[in-house]
Amino acid sequence: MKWFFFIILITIYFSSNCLGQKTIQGTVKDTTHKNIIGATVTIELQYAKTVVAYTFTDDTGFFKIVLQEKYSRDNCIIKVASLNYIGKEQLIDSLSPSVVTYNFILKTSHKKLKEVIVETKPPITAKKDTINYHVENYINNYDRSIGDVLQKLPGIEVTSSGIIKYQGKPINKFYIEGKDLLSGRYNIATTNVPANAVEKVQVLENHQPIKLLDSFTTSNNAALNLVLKDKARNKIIGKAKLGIGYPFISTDNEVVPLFFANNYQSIATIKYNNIGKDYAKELTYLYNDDYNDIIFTNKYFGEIVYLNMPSVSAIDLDKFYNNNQFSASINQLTITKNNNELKGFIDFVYDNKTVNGSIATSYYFTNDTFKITELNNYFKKENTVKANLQYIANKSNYLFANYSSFQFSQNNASTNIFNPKEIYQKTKYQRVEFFNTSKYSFRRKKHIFEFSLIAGFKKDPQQLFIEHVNYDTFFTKYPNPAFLVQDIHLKSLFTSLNASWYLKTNANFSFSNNISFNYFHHSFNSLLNAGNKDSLFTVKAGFNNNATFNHYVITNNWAINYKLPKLSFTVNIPYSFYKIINYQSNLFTSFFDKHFLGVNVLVNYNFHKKWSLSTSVSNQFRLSPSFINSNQYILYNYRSLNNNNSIYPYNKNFSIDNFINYKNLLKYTFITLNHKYLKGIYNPIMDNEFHQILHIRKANNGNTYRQSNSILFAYSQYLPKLKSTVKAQLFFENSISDNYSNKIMTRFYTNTYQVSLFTNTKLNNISLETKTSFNISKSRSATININNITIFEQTLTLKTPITINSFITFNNIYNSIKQTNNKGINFLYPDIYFTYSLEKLKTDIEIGAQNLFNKKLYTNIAVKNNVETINQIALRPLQIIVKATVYFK
Amino acid sequence: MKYTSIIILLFFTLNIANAQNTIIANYNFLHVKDTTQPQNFSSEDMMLIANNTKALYKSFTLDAFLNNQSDLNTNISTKRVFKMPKVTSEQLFSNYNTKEIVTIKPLMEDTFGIKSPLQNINWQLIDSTKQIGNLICKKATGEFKGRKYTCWYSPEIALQGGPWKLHGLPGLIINAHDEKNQVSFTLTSITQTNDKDILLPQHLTYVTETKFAEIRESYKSNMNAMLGSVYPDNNKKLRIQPNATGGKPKKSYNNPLELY
Repeated sequence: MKWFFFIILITIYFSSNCLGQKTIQGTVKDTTHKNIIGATVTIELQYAKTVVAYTFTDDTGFFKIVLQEKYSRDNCIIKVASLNYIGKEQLIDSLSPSVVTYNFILKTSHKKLKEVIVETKPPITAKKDTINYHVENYINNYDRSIGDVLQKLPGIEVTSSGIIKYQGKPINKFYIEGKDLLSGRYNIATTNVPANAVEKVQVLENHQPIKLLDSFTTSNNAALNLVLKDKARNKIIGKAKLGIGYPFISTDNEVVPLFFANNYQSIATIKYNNIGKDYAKELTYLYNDDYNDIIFTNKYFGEIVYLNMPSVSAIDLDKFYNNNQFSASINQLTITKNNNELKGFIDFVYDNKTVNGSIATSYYFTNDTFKITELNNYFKKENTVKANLQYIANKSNYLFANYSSFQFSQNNASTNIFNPKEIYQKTKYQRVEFFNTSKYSFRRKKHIFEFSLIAGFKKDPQQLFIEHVNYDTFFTKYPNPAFLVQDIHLKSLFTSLNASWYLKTNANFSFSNNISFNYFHHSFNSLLNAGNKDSLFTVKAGFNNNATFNHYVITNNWAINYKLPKLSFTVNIPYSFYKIINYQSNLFTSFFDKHFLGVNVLVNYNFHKKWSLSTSVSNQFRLSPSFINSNQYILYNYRSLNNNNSIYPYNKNFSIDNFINYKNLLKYTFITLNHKYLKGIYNPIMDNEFHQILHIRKANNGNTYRQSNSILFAYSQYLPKLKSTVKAQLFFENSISDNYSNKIMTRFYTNTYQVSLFTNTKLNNISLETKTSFNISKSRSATININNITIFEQTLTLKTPITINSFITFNNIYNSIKQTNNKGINFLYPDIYFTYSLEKLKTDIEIGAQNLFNKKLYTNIAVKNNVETINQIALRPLQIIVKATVYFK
Repeated sequence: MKYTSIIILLFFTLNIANAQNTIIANYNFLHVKDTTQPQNFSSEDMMLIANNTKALYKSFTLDAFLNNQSDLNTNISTKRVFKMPKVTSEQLFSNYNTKEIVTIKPLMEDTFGIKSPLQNINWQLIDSTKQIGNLICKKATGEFKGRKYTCWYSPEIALQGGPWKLHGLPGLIINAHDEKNQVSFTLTSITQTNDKDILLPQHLTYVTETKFAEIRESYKSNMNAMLGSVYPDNNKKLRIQPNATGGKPKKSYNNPLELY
């Protein structure tokens, strides 16, 4: 019986242990046996790591936890922690008794919390006209440059040429820490500023860069500002990359040190590659600091003779460029003692590229269809040096600015064309340009006075050489010259004096008047020679130009500005008077007088907190570059010949640009609806004629019309729960253009439909980015139907971790082209990269295989108005590159 | 021997001082005060000074403003008027050991303290983890004063404190928001100090909530009397009305932090 009771007692004891509640208690003290008050005591399941109970120690250092019945059979871990002590943990066996006591003694920790900085700001915040995108919400482990992050921001669009648009409009300034270091060449920043150096991207809405004019004028463009993290300031950041691989010796190298401090900023880039990358693209101006419309349109045109390069827009250049490119850029900005900016840059580019392919161009007219198909081996070697120095005092009561700019560029291009016989042509081009702009504005109470002076010089000598072309007796009295040489000398001197007066009558209303006197002296000489090895033929009369032009342009612009908190508008009434005195072969030939009065209106209306409307209506008159009105022929390349018959060409454009913008910052949503209408009148009518392989364009008096209507709907949203950005765009354009051939005018209608979708997500450390676009082009006239083309493009980039320190990148481009009358074409371009990060050495090692399974040729078809172009391009072969990139942090 | 004892004693004192380490956590506080205008949320930077047993929660913006102003008062003798930012003047002092909370309310030149019991929150620990900054955080949900809060706390910072009156999790509360996203507290940075203890402000007068309301009314009446004596002709203009009906219309807020 005793045994029986004993067994029952034992059973009760164990069953209570197994099934009943378990009490865990004890004390927590430090090494001096002082009670630790408020220490956290947690009970976790040993395998699931789930916290099932917790408490805090009382003022005697005592704790007691009664564990729920359902956990009493599990193995648990008791963890004790307190700030400034090293935590402890111990296993609680499931078979332990119902009351267990643990007494802990914790040692002091010397580990400081100072490194813990948690930045969990919302994805977007706003204050007045500034919208802050907090980069940490969008960045992932794989983003290297801030450009990678910018395209994920809702409301912001980065075009393929690198132009940043906010709610459909291009930005008017790009700042780093509030300073415009790069003077419009902001792709240097987007591709080189490390993504993890930026704390936030700010959009400054309705931004007027000149502080003095801020309350006098209206701007409906935004600026972008990068705010850096503290750790990226006052030290050198950036990277150095060394890449080498197959086919031997493919190489891709760069050194990019950046330095940002309060009073000094610097970016230097040195890059060399032969793997098809066009790093020099970074150095392109995306807005111009000292833009002056009159100067810009009246300067000489630049390259008149040109060779066609087979090119496609749908795939990256590095798929088909065979290049050797070295580029270097040094950009410096210093804040002087008076708090003014002194900045400058020097760019140097050496680029040597070859593209092989074919171009088939068809010109459709009612009475004529001209088709030309040529196999084209294109080669170009160019050197460019650009330098710029600026001093700017941009204060709230005055502005003084001086910009000096110098450019020297030189290139040699050549093509071997098979049409079907071999034709060789080459061009030489040189440009020297210098100009200086000084501007001074000051404020006297309600008035602002502004004076500016621009003076410059430009020289563009160029030459076209053509060999083995059968022109019959078109150029000379003798058949088949062995070669033709078109020499062109262009020289231009220009100066512009501007004076402006602004008056602010009250807080809402201001008035301004600007008067500008401009003088241009142009000289234009062109000479066409033909010959054989030993002799030169006489070129028939009508192919040599020798002209000088004196342009006098006086413009006056009268403007009113009205600004209320919700509504602002500007009305500009520009008046311009053009006078041109023309001498051909030193004989006075003509006068040209032209008056133009226009109206430009800009309205911004924020009719709701989330909705705004802006409209701009503009009337523009532009005189084309004056070499075009020479009265003799100019050969642009072996198949293009032009004569402008002494007619002064000009454009008159009328445009309406309407925007309806919606932004909901709480839902991170932006919507833009944009309607554009453009009607252009071009004088003269260019008559198209075809003579064997020559496309001859000859000017006649009269007007041709162009008109286009387009609608763009853009939607973008950041979804914080999915850590994703979604962007969708719908675009429709209808354009009309008049084309003239053999005295018959044909009107062409082109419809373009585009649907594109961009998504980016970084869930579970996997980054997925897709871009899909669907493009339909239809072009027709009353009697002609040009090929209907449907293009589907998809790019996909998947980045996924392999280990903590490594990840794989998979890129794929898929293109599908469908045509009405021809077979569809499909392309698939996968690339794969493996990246391993050596954290201690701050280095990434990347091995990449590019251009996998490439076909030899890529085909791209484009239709616009009456011209259809089919480009076929030879693609680069498979390449395998190993790159080591060291980051300066 | 005497000196050795003093040195040992000093060593222990230092050690204890170290053990009393305190953190200063900054939070961004967002509150939709009027649900008819959800886009007009108020935003304020707040700070929590906390150790194992106590915590003081106050406006960081106000603190920075007052510090700046005292610097300006001592350095510049100009008559420039510095605009007072719209901030929370109230401070909360929580004692997790005694389970008591003191609401500190400044009124003119006096500071009043209202004691109340620290209300426990019945937290549900959720088996979910996420990284915020460089902290591994765990999730918990709980109901407090009429709102259902979701919190992320960090067991790496073993403190039971949190912003405002939220507390009682086995780690500092890093992030908290209510289910309607009308209230949120987001940690922006943490620093550690060697302050020995967290103290209540000096010259604190303890009162009850009702008494405090009475005192506030009497302050307003006294102020009117004072203004009346200074500007006898214009006293209407300058009158401070206990229940203001005239002048600038007071903004209506339909969504207080504590729903009951």
